[in-house]
Amino acid sequence: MIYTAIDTFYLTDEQLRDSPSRKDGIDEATETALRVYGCDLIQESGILLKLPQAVMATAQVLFHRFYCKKSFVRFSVKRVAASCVWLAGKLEESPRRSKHIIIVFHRMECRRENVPIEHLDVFSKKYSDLKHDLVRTERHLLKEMGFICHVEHPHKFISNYLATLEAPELTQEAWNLANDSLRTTLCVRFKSEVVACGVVYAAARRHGVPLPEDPPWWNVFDADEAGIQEVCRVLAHLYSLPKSQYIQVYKDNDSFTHRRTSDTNASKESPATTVASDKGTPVPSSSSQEKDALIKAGSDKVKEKGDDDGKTLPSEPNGKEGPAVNLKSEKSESNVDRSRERERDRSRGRDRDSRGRDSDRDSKGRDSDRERERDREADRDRQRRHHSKDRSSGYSDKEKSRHRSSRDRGDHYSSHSSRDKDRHRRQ
Amino acid sequence: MGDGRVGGGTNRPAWLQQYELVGKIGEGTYGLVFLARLKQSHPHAAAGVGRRGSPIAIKKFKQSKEGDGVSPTAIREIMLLREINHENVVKLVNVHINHADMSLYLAFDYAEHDLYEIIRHHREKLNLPINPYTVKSLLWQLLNGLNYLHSNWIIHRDLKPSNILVMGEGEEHGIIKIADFGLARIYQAPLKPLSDNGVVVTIWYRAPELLLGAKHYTSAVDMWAVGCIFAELLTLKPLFQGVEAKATPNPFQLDQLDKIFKVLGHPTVEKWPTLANLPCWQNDQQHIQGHKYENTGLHNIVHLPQKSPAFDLLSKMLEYDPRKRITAAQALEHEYFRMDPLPGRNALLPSQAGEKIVQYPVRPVDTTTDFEGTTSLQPTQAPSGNAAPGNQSVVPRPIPRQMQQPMVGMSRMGGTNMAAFGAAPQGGIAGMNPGNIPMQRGAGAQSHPHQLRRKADQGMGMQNPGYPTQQKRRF
Repeated sequence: MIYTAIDTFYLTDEQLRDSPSRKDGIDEATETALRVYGCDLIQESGILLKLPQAVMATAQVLFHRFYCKKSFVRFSVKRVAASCVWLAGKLEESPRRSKHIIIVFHRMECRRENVPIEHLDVFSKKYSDLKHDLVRTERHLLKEMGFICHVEHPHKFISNYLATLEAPELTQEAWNLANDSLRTTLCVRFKSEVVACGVVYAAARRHGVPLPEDPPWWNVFDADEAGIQEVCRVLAHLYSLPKSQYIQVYKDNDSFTHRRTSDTNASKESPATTVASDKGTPVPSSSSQEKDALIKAGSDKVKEKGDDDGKTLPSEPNGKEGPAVNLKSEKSESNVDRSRERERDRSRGRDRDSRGRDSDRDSKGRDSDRERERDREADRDRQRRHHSKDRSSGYSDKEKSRHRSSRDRGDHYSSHSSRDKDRHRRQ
Repeated sequence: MGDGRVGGGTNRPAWLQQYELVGKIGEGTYGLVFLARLKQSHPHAAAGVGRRGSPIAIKKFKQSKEGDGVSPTAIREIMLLREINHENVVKLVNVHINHADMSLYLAFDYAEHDLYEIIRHHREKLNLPINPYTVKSLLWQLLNGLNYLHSNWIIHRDLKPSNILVMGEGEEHGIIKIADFGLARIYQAPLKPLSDNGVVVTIWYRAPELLLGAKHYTSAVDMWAVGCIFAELLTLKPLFQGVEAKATPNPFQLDQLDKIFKVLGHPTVEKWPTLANLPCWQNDQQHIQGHKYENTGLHNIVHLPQKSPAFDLLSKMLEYDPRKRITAAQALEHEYFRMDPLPGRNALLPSQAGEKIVQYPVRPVDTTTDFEGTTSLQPTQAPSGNAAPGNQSVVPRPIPRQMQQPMVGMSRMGGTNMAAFGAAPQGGIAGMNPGNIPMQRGAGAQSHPHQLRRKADQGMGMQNPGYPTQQKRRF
């Protein structure tokens, strides 16, 4: 097999929308949730393995790049996250042994899915299979990257930008935002300089620190306003999401523990564990959707001849309606919101394609402002806070809430959001 | 095309169908090196990917038994080679992954010669020095390639004659190719000090700042190695032939430093201000500074007039202070390259019109070792004919990194190499396969301390307190 050179790994919005997961019937919300979940696994495992933050950053970028080329249905989010940590450790001169990677992911799964912590025997077949899969998935990662795994992170620009702007007090906030941005696909949409300017911009707005606007400060740092606004929008959207949960879309058993050895057990346990455990609800699939997926699977099998992942999707549909009525209605509302957002994205994409004129830019800015207002309103509604027209007040409330929660939490290795963990580590 | 599974002994993966295998031409710590040719029926051969029917060197990285997956050395080498493109740097044609045993195969344009064999041929067979045009052209091309690497923030860190390849046929006849990027690094913004990678550079070509335990070093370590190679091209023997103490984790090597000081004299803080900061300079003062050296002088070794441009260039390459050492870019502007004979693209042309081209020897090809590394008879693998266009024989040669030691010394090191295989986490071969090649050399012993040190580094669990800057990606 001859690999095509990939000199720059950046995708257009259209390419991201038509991702391999989408072709396998995974909707955008689920793919986003799985991306965030995979990055949470990477971040938490990196802390347990005592890895430098650079390794987790690189692992998350590799993770996003991989799922721009491969589907969550065919490659388990858990297994890919583990191999990304393993590979990033090698790339960033902080290698960890495969045994430690496997044990940490096994332990994390026990904790996250409320399974009694069991001892993973390194001489068991389970361990051997996990190790083999770790190596195999690493090989797939390298193959899809074309062995070009250089990663540049926005962090390296933040300190210099803020020193130039004479606003060093924003460094910590910008740094935290940069860490959070790694859980989104910003790293495969924009160059690191643009993401760095975006998080600096967001930090300045949150802290009410004015930055030069005539001429705009970001022009000096090779960024454009549209990119900055998109970075802010994506981060705001990330913070609006509920805590990410595992969603079983992978066609096989990807568990690190001994549970769920057969589909029957999985489907049987599903209604019972929906309430009792943190596990996410399975995604219901319509018959036509499944048919398309099967056709696609067959087609992919022909294309990927020789690939040892050429298994077909399970032919039997899931007979049970997994989610309850409330969950379904909530998901439906979420879908409506997201479809609206998709329409806005398409509109913005068209605007971006047109020639840049002052009036267009102003119009875009106003649209972004309105969108930010909507996001803030949504935040306020979701958190049931008192209504306030002052924008900085809104941010301030959120910030105070975050600080309180981080102070209250004493367990650094709990399965909480990486945002809080990052703050703990950096304070 | 897809990857096929290796079912039986006679089946091969699909990616291998495009190659006609010739035989094994060498081995190293990572695995084997095979000589192969692109079949002319292959569409890529027709499309011009690689020279049609021209030889290809396939370097195999076998997964270690410890199951560490793809070795970081292989990943690093591929990442770098896929992003750099220069006439004087070896060209990575393809990368293949064999699903059956998870081996990794790198396909390079094959180069028939290397400086080690060329120097040895002149020393042992011809008993004649290399002609001045060839020396100058080889050095010129080496500096061109190195300047390209350094301009892209890449330090090679293992320059030595056996890693400097020379093309022996075709339109690239006489062109140098810098090879073996297993130790190379991007040093624009490294995550850790480069010294964390452990011992680098084969000892005869190791710069004094490395031998004295410098925490921070620069591309100047490559220029010191080039100076040693330049002298070796002139004198046909290594310039500083020290014996390496292997067991010590300390980068300090007394014998190698002794060999250097005998020629260049004692370094002084006056001439090398940062010398006082080097850890081993302070710790081992009595060993180093207590020894007296008399009758020192580089001119006594290389027999060049001290006022000649060649001597001046060599002296600047072998400057003790790395900050004063000449750079590749500066060397290319040196007067030595402006005077006759001017350097050329084909370094192997005769310097006089009536002189014959030197016929460098044919290297043996082991046709009894199959592609999986086991020794068995392969009747269908007839060796290729030696006739080639341009009156130049096709000369297969080993690519892997080799320690240049006398044969007796090498056989002694064989045991060490065998023992080290078990210890090294990235050891490529569990056991050495005895070959029928009488000149076959064992795995490069130099790399074992490096790997052992790397293993030790893992145990230290070193972490950066803050968030370090990232290595820059080059577009």
